[in-house]
Amino acid sequence: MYSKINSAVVSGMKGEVIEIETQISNGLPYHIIVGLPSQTIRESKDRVKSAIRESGFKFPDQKITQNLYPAHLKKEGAHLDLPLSIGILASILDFNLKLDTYGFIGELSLEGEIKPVSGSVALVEAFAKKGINHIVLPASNLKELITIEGVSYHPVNQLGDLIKELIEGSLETASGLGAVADAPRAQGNYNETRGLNHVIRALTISAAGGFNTLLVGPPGCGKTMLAERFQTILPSLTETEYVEVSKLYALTGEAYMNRHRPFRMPHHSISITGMIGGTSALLPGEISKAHRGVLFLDEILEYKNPVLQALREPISSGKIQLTKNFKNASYPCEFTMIATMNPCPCGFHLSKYKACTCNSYEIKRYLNKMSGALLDRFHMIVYLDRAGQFVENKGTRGKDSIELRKDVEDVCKRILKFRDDNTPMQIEVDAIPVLQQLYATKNLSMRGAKQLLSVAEVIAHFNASDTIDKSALYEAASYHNLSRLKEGL
Amino acid sequence: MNKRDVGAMGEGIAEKWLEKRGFTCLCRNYYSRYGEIDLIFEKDKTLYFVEVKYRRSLYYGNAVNLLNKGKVSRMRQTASKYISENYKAFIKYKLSYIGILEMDSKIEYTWIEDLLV
Repeated sequence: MYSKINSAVVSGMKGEVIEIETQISNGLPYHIIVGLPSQTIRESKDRVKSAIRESGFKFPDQKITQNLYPAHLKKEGAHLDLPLSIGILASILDFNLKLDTYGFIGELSLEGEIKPVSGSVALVEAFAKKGINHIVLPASNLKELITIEGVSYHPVNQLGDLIKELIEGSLETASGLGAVADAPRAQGNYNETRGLNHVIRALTISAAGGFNTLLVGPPGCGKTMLAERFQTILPSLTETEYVEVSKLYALTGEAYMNRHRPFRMPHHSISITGMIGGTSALLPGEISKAHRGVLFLDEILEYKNPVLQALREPISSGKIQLTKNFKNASYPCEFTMIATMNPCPCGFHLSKYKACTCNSYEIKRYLNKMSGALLDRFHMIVYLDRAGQFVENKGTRGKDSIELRKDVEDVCKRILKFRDDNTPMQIEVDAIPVLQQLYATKNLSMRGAKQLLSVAEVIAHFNASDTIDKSALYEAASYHNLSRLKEGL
Repeated sequence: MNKRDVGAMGEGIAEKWLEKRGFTCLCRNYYSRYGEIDLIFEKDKTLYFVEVKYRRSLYYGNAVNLLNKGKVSRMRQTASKYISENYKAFIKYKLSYIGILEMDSKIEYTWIEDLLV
């Protein structure tokens, strides 16, 4: 008695289709799974046995050998429960369906319920590539999938029901994918803030251009509050971006179930491995989990220096190459970095409203924790001060996050249109001397000048202008407050 | 009827069933320090050491599930002892199992010829 079932496993960033062969022979009752199964898969034997019995079928009292082909590939994950049990049942029951073009994924409970799995996007993609067009998967996984042409999804909830359908020879097809979760994002809205519109403007520009932004200011002025609400103005992930992100999350066994941009906020006690990825399994770290989204470093100077220095190269290249024990893995990490810091140990250096109590040596030592190289990677450095007087429910209200997000989305579309037309934005003639002057007075690096120009370009897009004019350049320069931060040095 | 008699009855049923299929019984209830073998048969110059399990209900589960590696390895030790006592040279042998389920005056046989596969 023999059967062959298709399933898939996650291997690195992509899925691989595997075949589960089942052979049942006369012998001592014994269930063995070969072909490099992980501990989770070996444990699935007991779930499979119980689920088959609870669904009203007889578990064969014979020798069951299951082989996972290809044998050299290490298999991980609990989503093989369903194909393993289908393999056993297919060799003892008659299914009125040829299972060659069917792929199965799903975890089982002891009761025979089919539970959601992680990494379904990568697995489904692997099936589609191999021409396996009918995918049987847990119903709750449906909402995280994307439509692929020619592929039909068969959502299931109970093993018993699925077997009945397989015996009858017709599977229920999903009519459409679940609604895309978009409405509830991070908590908060920019309209809850007062008198911080210049920072919100900077953050809006950063959201549209993906600019790394450093917020500097005294304690309690709202740096963290503004940064935490940054997710509320980001455009949703596009379909291809969503696939990338959910594949990265699948590697660590997490499910990425919505279309929001990731927002990662690691605590400053994080290690290098936690930040950039690693361990013996070469898993992605926080920077890769922030791919296509935001990495928020609150109190950036409290992070360990080696951790911050490790960020330099991935920020520039947008990917990270990890190596351990002769194994390699490369993960993308194109994220927007938002960071906050105080300008000195007491926090009031540069403030108009309270005197700083630090001496120049203390300030210098404090700011030296931030290396010049890392500072150079921030496109925008914004100083915000404490409010002059207590203005509860007074002062200018911040703009509504939903409106801001619409603006950001419009600008993103505009930027893409310019990029597609391959027309680089021109600098107006009278703005060129301004750029030269800024380059000299601000003592910019070439990278700094490029950053300044790209910020100015996005500002021009916000102003619905087709060229970079003087005002855009000056605004961009106002967000380039490197020299002001270094005044204390 | 005590447990031993029930066992003996099961062995009797098994013996008849197997003899009908061309097996010759050599020995019943062979004991060694490692354990007991219920029946020993010969067919085509191969010895069959048979464990018999007799059941009248499935109340305590299917008997085949009571066999495990430990039991099989004890059977193997007893089998080697039997062979060394009775034969001069190595002879091919198999460890087998026969399950008898007698329910509603119907008898169901489960025959596993080789437990070591």
